[in-house]
Amino acid sequence: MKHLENAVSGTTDANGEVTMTDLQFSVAGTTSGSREFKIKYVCDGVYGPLSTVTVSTSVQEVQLRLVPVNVPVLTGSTALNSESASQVAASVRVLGANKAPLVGKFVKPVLVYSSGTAVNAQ
Amino acid sequence: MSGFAVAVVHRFAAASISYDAPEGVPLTTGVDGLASVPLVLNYLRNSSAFNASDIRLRFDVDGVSSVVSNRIIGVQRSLPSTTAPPCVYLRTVTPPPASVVVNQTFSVQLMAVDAQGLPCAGARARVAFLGEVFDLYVGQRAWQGALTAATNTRVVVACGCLSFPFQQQVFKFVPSGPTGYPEAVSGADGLVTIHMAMASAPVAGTASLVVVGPGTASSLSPANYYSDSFRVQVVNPVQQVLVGSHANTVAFIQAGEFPANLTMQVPIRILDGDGNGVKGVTVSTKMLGVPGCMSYFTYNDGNPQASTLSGDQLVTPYGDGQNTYATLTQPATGSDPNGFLTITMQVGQSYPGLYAAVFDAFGVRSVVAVVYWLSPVASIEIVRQPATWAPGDSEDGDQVTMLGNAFLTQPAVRLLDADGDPVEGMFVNAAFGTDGLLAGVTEDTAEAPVLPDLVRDPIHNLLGTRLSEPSDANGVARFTQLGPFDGLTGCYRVAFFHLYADPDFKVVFSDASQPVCVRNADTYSIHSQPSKVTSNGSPFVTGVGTSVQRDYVSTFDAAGIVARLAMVDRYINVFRSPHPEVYSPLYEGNYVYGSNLLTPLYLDNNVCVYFGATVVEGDCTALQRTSAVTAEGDTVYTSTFTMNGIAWDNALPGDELTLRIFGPLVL
Repeated sequence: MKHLENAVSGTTDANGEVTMTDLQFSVAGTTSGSREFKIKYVCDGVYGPLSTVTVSTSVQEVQLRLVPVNVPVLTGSTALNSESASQVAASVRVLGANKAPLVGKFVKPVLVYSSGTAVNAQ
Repeated sequence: MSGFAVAVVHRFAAASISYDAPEGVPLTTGVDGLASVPLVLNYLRNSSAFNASDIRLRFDVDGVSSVVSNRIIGVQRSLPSTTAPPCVYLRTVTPPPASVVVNQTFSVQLMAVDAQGLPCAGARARVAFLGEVFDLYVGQRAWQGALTAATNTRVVVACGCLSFPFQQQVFKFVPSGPTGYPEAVSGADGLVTIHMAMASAPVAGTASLVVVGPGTASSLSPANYYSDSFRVQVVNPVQQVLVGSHANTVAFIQAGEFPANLTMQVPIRILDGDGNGVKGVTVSTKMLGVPGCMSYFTYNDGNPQASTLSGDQLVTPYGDGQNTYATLTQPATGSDPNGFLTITMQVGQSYPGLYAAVFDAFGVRSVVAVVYWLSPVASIEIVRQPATWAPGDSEDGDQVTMLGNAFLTQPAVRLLDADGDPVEGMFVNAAFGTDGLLAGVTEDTAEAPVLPDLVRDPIHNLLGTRLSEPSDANGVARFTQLGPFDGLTGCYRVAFFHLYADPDFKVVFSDASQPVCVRNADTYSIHSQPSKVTSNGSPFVTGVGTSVQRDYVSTFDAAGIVARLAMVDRYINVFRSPHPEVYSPLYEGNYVYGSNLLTPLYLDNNVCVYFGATVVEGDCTALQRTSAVTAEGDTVYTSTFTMNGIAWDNALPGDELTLRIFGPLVL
């Protein structure tokens, strides 16, 4: 769930203006694939106009660290339920600016053809 | 590394591909930016249909995609056949709760229905899968440790590439039903209720759970009806398992003395997320013998732990690296209200050495605990000196042994305990080095150097069969096939030592006046190259998992080498040694090339690379003398070996692997 943090401003100045200096989203990333969000400001029950904010991800690179070749197939075999050597895992590293690792990023595996087209897009 | 489990769930029919999008189970990266993504192909009824297509993986984060992986292959497992009613689906009646606690029973109720949606009686439904979080590739890494309770003491340690089969923090069921996995049979109303409980889980995670029905009498695989997939948040009351109060370091336990069984009391404490003890939890353990080597470190921090140890260069592998086991005795009531649990552990492999264990409570793993089992051997003495060929017996009339051959006179040594009594049933190791390498440690023959001093300068252990036969009742351990398998032409002295002995143990050297002399090749050449290799040592690119060539046969003409194969990838050399004691247990018995324990597969970038090829014949055999003579007048030797299917796994796109045949080589 993405929400706004520090969403209550200070008091207005003599010009009736107020600057929100640390307004931010609670988590990074898009929501349901959308990068656009609408923000509406309200003061004493009076709403201002909608403003559009476009969120850009901090993700710069998704590195494959390890992708197994042989992936076990679930068929109800007990072998999959056991501590079997057939269990495999991929390792992915998510990097931001300056190659800095990013914590708390959601990684989604997608089956694709060699062209990069998702299998379910066929 | 952190992350949550996910099943890559999709459906493939036998003849065509249809696909349901992967479940959107979030996988979060840890502070290091890494996420571990367990993979399984779900509902894949026919892996051949999948494998006929070039299917790969991509990972998306916030709309940013990784590169496309190499092709993945579905590996299908068969399901035992049982007669099943014509059910087609397990309809959800009552899903499992959204959140369950480890070791607490929960249930799911389904209705087995046929193609018309009518209740189906007698349908066996089994919980078949849980998404799992584990740390699979922590398995192979260089590791070393030792034990001493004293400070400022140099000790001999065992070290090596430790292969842990331990899976960390996996979801598992409390065993139930005839297969060990929760199951039940539907009644006349089609209803089937399955009760189950989690036996282990990560400290936090979400399990993906599927219920399947068995195959039919005519179909061995796969299951022929399925439930929906359920996601269950699993709460684990256990968050930390301490061994001897060590939470984040390798914990020492205690030493034992051979030949008495090694039995020890191990203090365990099980804690929740607030640091409070968890009551009523028992633990399990798995233990490995750590392949040893000769090394040392100066232990001076005064604490009985070794998390930051770094021994000097290893000299020789030792020990079989086999799985061993530990027998645990613990109160049936488990940990006390403060989380304390003292277990009695008996090591099951009756030979001194270095052992490593982890303890598991509700799926939460402790740090690696180390048991150092001291040998009773305090000293050794040479009974029979090694000797190379007798004068006039070699090709050149010199006292030399060609690489790949055993010394003419096999040495024997006697093992003694601290009281000077012979020790039976123990092994001796041997290495050799030039006098130059041994300089500074062999000047005073009256006082042989202690092992730590010896290891300050690397000793090239290039002897073939390095382990003696076990010592007899008189404490005499004999070598039967000791000989050089690698190294430069030259004369050497043989060093005999015994691992896991007392730290004051002295290394013994063969007589300096009678060195063993070995002969290596001056040149070598390879008659045939595997396909996709343009020349020896040249990199080549092929698909991961793709066999380079079947039945590759290479014939070597060389003067005094033993043929060896190596796959080189950036910072690693992996090669099969002719010595069984350095096989990875993973490959043992298959005669497959694998990692030499001298060279961990755990790379600096944490990418594991494996490769395999089946040796058909001829690998690492001694050279055969031919009648051919080089232009320089050297005798030509030949060695031929055949491999079947060189292939590798777990590389990344663009990786280049180099196949090399090694001739003269110094490790």
